[in-house]
Amino acid sequence: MGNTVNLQVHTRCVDTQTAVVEFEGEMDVYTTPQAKEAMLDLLDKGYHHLVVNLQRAEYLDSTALGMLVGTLKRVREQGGDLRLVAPPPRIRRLLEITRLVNVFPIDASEQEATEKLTQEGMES
Amino acid sequence: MAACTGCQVELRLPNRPEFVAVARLAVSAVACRMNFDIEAIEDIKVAVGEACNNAIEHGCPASSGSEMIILRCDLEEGALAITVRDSGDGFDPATATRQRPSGTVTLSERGLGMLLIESLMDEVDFSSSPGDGTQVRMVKRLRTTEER
Repeated sequence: MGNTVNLQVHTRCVDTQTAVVEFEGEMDVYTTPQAKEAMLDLLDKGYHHLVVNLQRAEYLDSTALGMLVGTLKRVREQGGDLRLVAPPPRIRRLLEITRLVNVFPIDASEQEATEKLTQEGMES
Repeated sequence: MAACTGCQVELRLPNRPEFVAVARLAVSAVACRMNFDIEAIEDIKVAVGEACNNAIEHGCPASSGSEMIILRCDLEEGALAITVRDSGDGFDPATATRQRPSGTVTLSERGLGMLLIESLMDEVDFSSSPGDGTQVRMVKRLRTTEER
């Protein structure tokens, strides 16, 4: 059973510090390792300002939330940040229940998140 | 739906991550048949997924030969009761790591699953005993048209 059927991870680099990760599909205990690998790969390459686009994420569980929290901690240790983009209402509800809505900066669009991270990068 | 009341659906799944989606799909089909609204079905899917995650984390290792998760749905009058059982060593739900729904937010990567289960379902009971695995029983009640 290949896990690419349930989740697709798209990454693209904006500048030398900023990258966008887009998750499409279901993020659960089976597929999240694939997402984590993509995030760690970006961190290893020096991208510490991450935009995580959830617009096309259909499902997200505590494993995925934990992975995002872990990545947030790592990028902040490196002076970076992680911003979420456009979580669908169902996923936003989970962020509210877990109060992670107060932990992650959330933007309506990828452009908005990228601009804020780029600005933070210039200031740091 | 009345004809379904009293029915049981039971599924035995390998205790492996790739089968959690199967549990979610099965329980959402049962909930759909009971006329739960889409929001409630999504709540049930998340809760069942989290219960299966716990079973995988605390249940028997896949190499033990008894690595099954048993998912049972009891279609009750006005409610769906779901039981997820593993055959692992068990754990103490009272001391298990969990995030609290209120108070200071800590950047913890663990304990989110139990918080989600307790927030999304109407009733939740954890029971566990040494050597006899862990059982999570969750109930979601059908909302009347006035409650929606």
